[in-house]
Amino acid sequence: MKTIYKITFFIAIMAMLASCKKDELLDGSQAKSRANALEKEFKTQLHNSKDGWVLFITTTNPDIKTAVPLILKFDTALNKVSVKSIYGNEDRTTYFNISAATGMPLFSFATGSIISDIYEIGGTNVTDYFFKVLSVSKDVIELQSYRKGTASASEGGAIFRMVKNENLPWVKDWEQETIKLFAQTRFFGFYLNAEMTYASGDVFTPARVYFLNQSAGNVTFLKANYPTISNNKTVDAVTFGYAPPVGAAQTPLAMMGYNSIFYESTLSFTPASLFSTGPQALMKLFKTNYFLIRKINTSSIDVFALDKDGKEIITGKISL
Amino acid sequence: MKNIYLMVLAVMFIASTFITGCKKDDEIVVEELIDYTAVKKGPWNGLDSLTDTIFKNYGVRVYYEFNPRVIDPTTFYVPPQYDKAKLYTKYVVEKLWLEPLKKNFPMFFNNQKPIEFLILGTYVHFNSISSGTAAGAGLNGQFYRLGMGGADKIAYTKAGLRDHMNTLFHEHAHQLDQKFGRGYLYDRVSQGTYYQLNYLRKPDNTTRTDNDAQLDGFFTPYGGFAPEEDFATSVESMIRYSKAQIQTIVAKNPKLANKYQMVYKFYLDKGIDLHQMHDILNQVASTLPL
Repeated sequence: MKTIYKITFFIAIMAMLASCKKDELLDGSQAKSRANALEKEFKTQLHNSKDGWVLFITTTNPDIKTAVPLILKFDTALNKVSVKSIYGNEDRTTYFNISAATGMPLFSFATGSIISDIYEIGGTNVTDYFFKVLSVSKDVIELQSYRKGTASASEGGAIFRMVKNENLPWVKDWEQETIKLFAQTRFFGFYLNAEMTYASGDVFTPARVYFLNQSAGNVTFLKANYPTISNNKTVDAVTFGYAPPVGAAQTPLAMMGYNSIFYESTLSFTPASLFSTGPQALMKLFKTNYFLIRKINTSSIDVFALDKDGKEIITGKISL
Repeated sequence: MKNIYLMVLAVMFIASTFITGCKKDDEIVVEELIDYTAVKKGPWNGLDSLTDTIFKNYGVRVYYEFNPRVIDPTTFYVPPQYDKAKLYTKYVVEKLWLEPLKKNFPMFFNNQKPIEFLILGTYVHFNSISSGTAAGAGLNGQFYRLGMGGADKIAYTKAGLRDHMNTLFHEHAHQLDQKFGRGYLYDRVSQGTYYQLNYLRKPDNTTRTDNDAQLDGFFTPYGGFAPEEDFATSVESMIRYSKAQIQTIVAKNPKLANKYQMVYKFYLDKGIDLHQMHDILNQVASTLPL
């Protein structure tokens, strides 16, 4: 009994001490004004970067060590966003909105955009085209996919770091080529030798690959139905064949976009050799799902790919 | 000892009423409520102005961009391309759907139009279910809102848009079905003869054609799927075919003729003659500047 009194006594004292003046722990500002301030800062920073912001799209495939860069340029007066990426060179009209979410601004790609194409294809960390704005600074904006991708999953997807496009060495490298690889017929229909160097030190055994045109029927179908092709005029469909020393030959669908070669895996289309298992074999082989083109030479193509921090981790040459 | 504890405790309890009772905030700050689902819209683009005009003229709010206020966060969908959404709003929503209805069938227009219209780029996914370009009854089984998918994929030609109107009336028929009920008698006409999930193929595994289905008493194979689709495909067919063509079709099976009369009358009671609407749509579609 005595012990109970003692314990009650101390609890009461603790409660009285702890109960005073809690208010001071908070900074006193209101949630709404905090959200508004962040929103204003977000808009200001979007506007202030003359050359836009770079969003690196990471995938959920563990074979892929790289991330696809999207250079987003925002027109905060008209709420327009133009995108330079492997998919095209600012050739689409798309809009964005900034509205309120739970305590922070919600940034959405409001109309069909490269983000909604990527979302529809699947397999990347873009699990929504609504993003929560987590933090804003002069050089880095952190965004988080609003949803995890499947309906039963909880809120809050992967976090993306969007960096300011300023003095990034790879941008110049990527923008320099003015001719279209798709039009360079000399690279089509022959075995090509692919050589890669990895910053990680991984050794790459030179691989035999080839480019083929897709049949006219396939091109018509893909232009009408395949999201990243039908919505991006710059993108052309090809076969990026791979003849491994051991095992079955791969004939995956690949795309030639703005100074780029890329391939995506999706289960929305069949056959698998073209749309899923084929591209996955290439991803495993190259450890990337895309190449940026540095230069198209007479008999070779210089390519490279970046990781999620914008560091060039794959440098390669595909030659006749 | 026990008494001392008891007394101190009693004093503290009394004291606590004074201590915690005093020094209230001078004024209780009530935070203004945040509307987390508010649509914050920046400057208007051309399509925003167009949707606003349509809202003023017809009372239907067209949505081409979404936020959690428009579709709840468990529904997945792809927003339309801006250029396609603009064509869709102008020609499908205004020219082919709302304008002819308001002009020719004001009673039907006033009472049966939804107040919201959603344009989806490709598909909509309800939880794990994915629906086709018509966006499906999951979206259209609600009275106040009609949604159509596949705006990115439609052929924006006279013929392409005219064909899309058949689907639009099909989806709207689901709404009217939900709202009024197609009726006890309607469901009894073909009871027991619906194909259910085997609607695409005949028992010998060959493809079931429209004609096969019509001989069985349905306008299309899909109409034979279930009574709700039977009803919606009847409306779709009356928008797709002329009165003369419909009469030839319904002559193939008395059950079909019976159901056709029911649906035709159902719509007539609501203020629209579907045969007339078919002719009007043909006329309007042929004059679109496409």
